[in-house]
Amino acid sequence: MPKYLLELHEPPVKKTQDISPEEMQQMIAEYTTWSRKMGEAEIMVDGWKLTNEGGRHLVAKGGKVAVTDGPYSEAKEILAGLFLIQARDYDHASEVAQSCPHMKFGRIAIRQVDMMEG
Amino acid sequence: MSTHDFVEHLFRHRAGQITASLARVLGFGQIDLIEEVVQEALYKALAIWPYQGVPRNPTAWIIEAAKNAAYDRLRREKVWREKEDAVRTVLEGWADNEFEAGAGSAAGAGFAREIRDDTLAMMFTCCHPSLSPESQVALTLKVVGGFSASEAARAFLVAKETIAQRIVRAKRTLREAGVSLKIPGTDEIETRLAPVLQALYLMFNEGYASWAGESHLRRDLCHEAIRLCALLTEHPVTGRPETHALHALFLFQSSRFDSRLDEEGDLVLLADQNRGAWDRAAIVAGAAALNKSAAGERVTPYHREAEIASCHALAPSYDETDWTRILACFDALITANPSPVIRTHRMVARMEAGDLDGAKREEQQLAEESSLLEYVPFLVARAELAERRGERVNAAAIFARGIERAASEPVKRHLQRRWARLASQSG
Repeated sequence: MPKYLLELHEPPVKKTQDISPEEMQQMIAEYTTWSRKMGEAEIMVDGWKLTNEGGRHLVAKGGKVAVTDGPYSEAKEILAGLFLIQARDYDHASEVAQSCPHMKFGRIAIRQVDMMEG
Repeated sequence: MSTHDFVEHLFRHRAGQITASLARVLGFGQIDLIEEVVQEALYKALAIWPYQGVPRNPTAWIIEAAKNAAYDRLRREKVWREKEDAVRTVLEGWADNEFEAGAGSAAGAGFAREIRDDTLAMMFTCCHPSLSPESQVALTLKVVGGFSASEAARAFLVAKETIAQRIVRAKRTLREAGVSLKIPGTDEIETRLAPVLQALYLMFNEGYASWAGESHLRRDLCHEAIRLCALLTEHPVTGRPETHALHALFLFQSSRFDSRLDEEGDLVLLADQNRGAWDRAAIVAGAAALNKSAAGERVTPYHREAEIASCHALAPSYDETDWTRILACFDALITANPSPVIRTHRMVARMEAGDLDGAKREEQQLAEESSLLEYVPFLVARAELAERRGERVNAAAIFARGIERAASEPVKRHLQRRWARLASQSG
């Protein structure tokens, strides 16, 4: 079955937002309930949270590698986390992504993992 | 990836506990920064757990995150730096306990006591006599209970700014007074415990008796009041007879929490409730608490109220309710505090005991109390009494007034049904 990477943009809430401990716990529970359901359906493969800084950007220039801070910090856009899922096709993957609680808080991008046959 | 579940209200409770423990070493003056540290730790969990699952030991994880956040403050805040060793001892001790000592071990039990005592000390601070009862409740919910100002506001159906203001002012008052965090000694426990119990009473009552506000939050208020009252009963100094009496009252009342509305959200009166659906475990625990409350010489209003609640909770049916005993309790309550509200309840008890003339006399006296003119339970009691005395037109008129004044939908609908039934009978 093809694999897809779900890129979850924006964390569920901004740090400055007034959010209670209970509300945080509820939000986590929504995600984990969803993840479990996807796991039971053999859709979910893995999930990762990325660190908040923008990471490093590597560019080869004239035989040298230039290392700069990643683009995300400048763009003030945070890639909050990643899920690796397996789905029949892009439509199925979109359906899965739409059922993710993250859609209430942020944005999801889907990329198919290119797996060469044979 | 782990999909481990975590305990209900874990964040709320841990927030209160970590805050209380850090405040013990840093002082109440640092409360805002401490709350920031706790919020940061929980926020970190929110940023990571959705993707990686809930860790096997969520508390240990939160403590680690709190350590990082607190050590960051150690670098920046002078007061924190001066207390560095104590801050480290608290958090590392906690982390060690989570990782090593089991719940059943002696070290684990000792640690649990320490956390409990920190929470109790914080309760006495939040319910300091220099604060108004409203501020005491708001501050206790925020600092000890881990409620946000917005949650407290939604439960109390007041503006969020009102609660936030109360909290800010109360913190300032306590900071300026330099109140220290400790459980009062036996010499002053009686006077210092009274406002704490009163705050819990108000907290529970708001959750239980008002039909306004969001229902899950009202339920949380009741549970929080019960949890904190139970903590007080466990401590040798605070576990006094009146504490057990209040605990008993809460437990008996909470046994009916879910039986008071039907599936349509309509009010079900005590007489019509399915007693089999009442929470037996809560009633049994309530009876045990009531037993413990009998240890002292003094009978407090909480004792009387708990006894009344026990009469209802333990009666096999509505008809078998011990109204004589309930009336005796009301008489005692009214001797100590002749409040029109309690007298309204006694009027109802008289009526239920079959003493319609006695109830009528009480009503006539109460009718002179201007504070009761708009009080819906009094209107309902009057309408009920008129109906039982066969004065249908009068009863319908009073129900109609109650409908106009009822603040919550379930009560309004209930009164409308009663009114409609009378109107159809007399028409």
